[in-house]
Amino acid sequence: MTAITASPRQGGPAPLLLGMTLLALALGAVLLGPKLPLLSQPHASSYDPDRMVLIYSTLPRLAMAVLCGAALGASGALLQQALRNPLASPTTLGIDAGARLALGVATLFYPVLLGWGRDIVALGGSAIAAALVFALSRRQDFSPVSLILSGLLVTLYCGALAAALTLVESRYLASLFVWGSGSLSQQGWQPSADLALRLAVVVLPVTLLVRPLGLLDLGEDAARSLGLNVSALRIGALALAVLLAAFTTSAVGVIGFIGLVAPILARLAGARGFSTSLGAATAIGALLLLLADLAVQLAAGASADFLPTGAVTALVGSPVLLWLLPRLTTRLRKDAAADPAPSRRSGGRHSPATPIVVLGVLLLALAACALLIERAPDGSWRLLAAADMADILPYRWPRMLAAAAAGLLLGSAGFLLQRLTGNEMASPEILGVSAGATFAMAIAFFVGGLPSPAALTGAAAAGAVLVLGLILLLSRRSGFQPERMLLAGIALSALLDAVIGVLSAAGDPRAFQLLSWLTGAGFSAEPVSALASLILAGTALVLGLCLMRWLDLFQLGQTAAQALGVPLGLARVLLLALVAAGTAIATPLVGPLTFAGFIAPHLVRLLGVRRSGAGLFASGFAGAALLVAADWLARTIAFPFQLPTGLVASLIGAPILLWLLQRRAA
Amino acid sequence: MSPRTIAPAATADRGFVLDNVRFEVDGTPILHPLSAAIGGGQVLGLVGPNGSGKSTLLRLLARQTSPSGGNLSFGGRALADWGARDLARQIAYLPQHPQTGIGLSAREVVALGRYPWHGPFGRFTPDDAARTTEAMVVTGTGQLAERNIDTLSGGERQRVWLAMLVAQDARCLLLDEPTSALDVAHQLEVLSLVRRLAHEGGRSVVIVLHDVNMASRFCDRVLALRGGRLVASEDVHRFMTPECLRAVYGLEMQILPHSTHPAGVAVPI
Repeated sequence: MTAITASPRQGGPAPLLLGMTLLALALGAVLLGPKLPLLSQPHASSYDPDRMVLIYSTLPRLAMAVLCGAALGASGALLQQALRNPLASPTTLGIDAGARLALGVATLFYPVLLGWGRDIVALGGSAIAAALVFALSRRQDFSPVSLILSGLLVTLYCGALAAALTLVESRYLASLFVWGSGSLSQQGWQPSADLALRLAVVVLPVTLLVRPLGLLDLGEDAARSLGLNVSALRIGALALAVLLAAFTTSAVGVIGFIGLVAPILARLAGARGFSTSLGAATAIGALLLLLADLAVQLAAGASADFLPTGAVTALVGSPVLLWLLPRLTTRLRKDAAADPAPSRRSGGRHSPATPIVVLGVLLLALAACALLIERAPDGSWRLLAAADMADILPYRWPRMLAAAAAGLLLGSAGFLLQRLTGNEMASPEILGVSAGATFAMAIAFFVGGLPSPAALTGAAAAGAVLVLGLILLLSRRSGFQPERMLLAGIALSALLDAVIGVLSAAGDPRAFQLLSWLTGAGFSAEPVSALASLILAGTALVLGLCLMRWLDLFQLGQTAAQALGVPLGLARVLLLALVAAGTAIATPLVGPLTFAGFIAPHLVRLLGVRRSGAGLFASGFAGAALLVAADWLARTIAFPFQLPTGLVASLIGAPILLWLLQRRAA
Repeated sequence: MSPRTIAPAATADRGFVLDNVRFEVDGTPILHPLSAAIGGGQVLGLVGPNGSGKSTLLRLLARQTSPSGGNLSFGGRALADWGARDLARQIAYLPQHPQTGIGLSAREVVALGRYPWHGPFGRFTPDDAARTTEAMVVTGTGQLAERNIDTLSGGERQRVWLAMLVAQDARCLLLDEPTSALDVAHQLEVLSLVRRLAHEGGRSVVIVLHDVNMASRFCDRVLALRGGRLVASEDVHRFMTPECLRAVYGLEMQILPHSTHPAGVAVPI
């Protein structure tokens, strides 16, 4: 399952390690060379700032880089081996994001906890995030793609919550930003000594697991028949990997991609067998982070303290991941066994129209609520008085319509994407199109000063289209395999996250504007644009209906669909273009993080809709209902304050989703 | 056959012509240059040891992959030149591991086999519905129509897939080990159905089989591969000889006469 093509080199990873070491030595010599003589000076009684900086800041920082890189590399190697998944890593499984959110929450609400132990807080967050990811992907038998998609979903969700926290309590979290993006800057030896001690504790159990984990190369069943308790081994290895990652995160913040790239590099360089690849990944991780940090220090000079190395590794790492993708011949089988549970309703009992009618009525009822039920100035709930309607409604209906249009678009896009990929973890948020839109808006913010809403929308659409083009181009070679596209989306999302991290760390106030948009706080709509989006949503639905036959056939699997005469490449391009266009229109309206496109198709499946046509409409309606409800609640629930619409949508959606998955697992 | 040469079905009957077709992955040959003619209203068994290239050959015929070299034509036209739906009206292919977790009812799955005829925008006509029903009757899946395909047993599910291929109304069926996951009783059931489809419906069937004796019982002709090379292309009676089997499997076998296997039963010595 984890085969990586690029024919492994003969010499093993040694040449790569040697090269990296030499490079690190060279960079280190450039950085430290002029200062080294200071060390050999006899301890001067007088205060020597240069010497102090060297001993208490520069050297510990490099030591920290080596320790963190090694821990992350080992953690990634453990995860990849235990899960038999070449894309597993603390970053891709949401472990980092969980720790980051937990520390943010603790900083804000229970600072006492931090005094008690940052490690425990970070560990708790990581463990919860990891548990969530496994719960989400359990029903797909932990197939590689579903695991990664669940991880990304949890990462995005944690990111949304962290963004909201930052918005609400920004002044407390400025430092968390710098830290959250993985700053290695040090003021002494204590932190690195602490980390070294913690890592040392983990080393022994890891060495004990090396040999049993190696047996997993034979496959789970064979390993079991050799007398291995596979589940216990997995849980043990995962726990150790989470420990390694959480210790690192708690010490220096989130450092993305080292844990993913180091083991992959180790294997590409020819490491075979788990013990070799674990060792190589650890060494490569250490060297990678050391190199990255040396480069940052050399490039940024004195301001290096404020440039988080973690953000830089993500900036460099995402393109590397994109480059590696075509080289991974993972059998990314979406394991059609997507739903082995035959408990699913056999359908046919009710006509396919019933769920559509139910959802349509629900949508209308919610729309009426959103328009007519409000909070009085004293906070009590009341119906909008008939006399005020002419004055108030013109402010409400465009917003309600825009929310409905965005919901329709996201819901139907999510449905199309899940059918197309045959993967129930797919969603337009993950495709990277949202990230592209956000990226373009970010650039508009920082280049254009304070652009008008129309300019922002235009920028978002341009960004979405650009990303779509890029993704199509990148995956042309793989015949537009949807899995590849989702992975490309992951890399792009991570890149965006890194950019926002760098900007925020630099203390740029415009970062907050971007954040507020990310959570859908700036949600407003003009009548014209609301109507236009609704018309576009209708068009998208009709276009989607035209492609229904293909979607029906995709249910039989790609091979059977091709054998029946579906032009696979064309069908994929058209459907993906439709999904991307829908996402591009919806994203500027409500922000990229609503999860409507993820939740709506699940709801529809629970209602027992199987045919694609009915499913598309039902999913669109469900998405619209979710966003209309979210918008209404965002306006009323914390009255007189307004909450970000997108955030409320994801806060409503997440429990629904967990409940859905729970129910279906039973 | 000659008076009907204008009808598309008749041209299709001319079947596949392989001219030095080869297939390799990263420079490693999976199929060595192979020339053969396949088709003509009978059941052709593809046999050979593991890794001999049976499935690869079948996938090439189904145009699931394209050859690395050589000419492969179907119905007098290069296979690559066929339109996707045109080809699907002529050739139906059943992969070795059809998708599971589909969630549709058996009848819905069978109805999807009509796609090559109505296309993405065409109406699902009463004729399409009638052919769907007929396909289910022929394959004996009528009573499963409303069942969710995921809840069916392996044998039932395989018959539903065959029903879909029948609904597809293609002249040529390509089946990749359709019996690999079935017990003996269900193997016989499915293979009898396949034989009936060929002999009563005038279809050509190319079927990958693991079991020589199943091939002996149900196939008219046998194409044997070994190490990516064609080692035998014989009538089943001539295939079921110790010499031929030795060439394919490298094993001494004895042929015993058998009442239900006209070509006899092979037993390793």
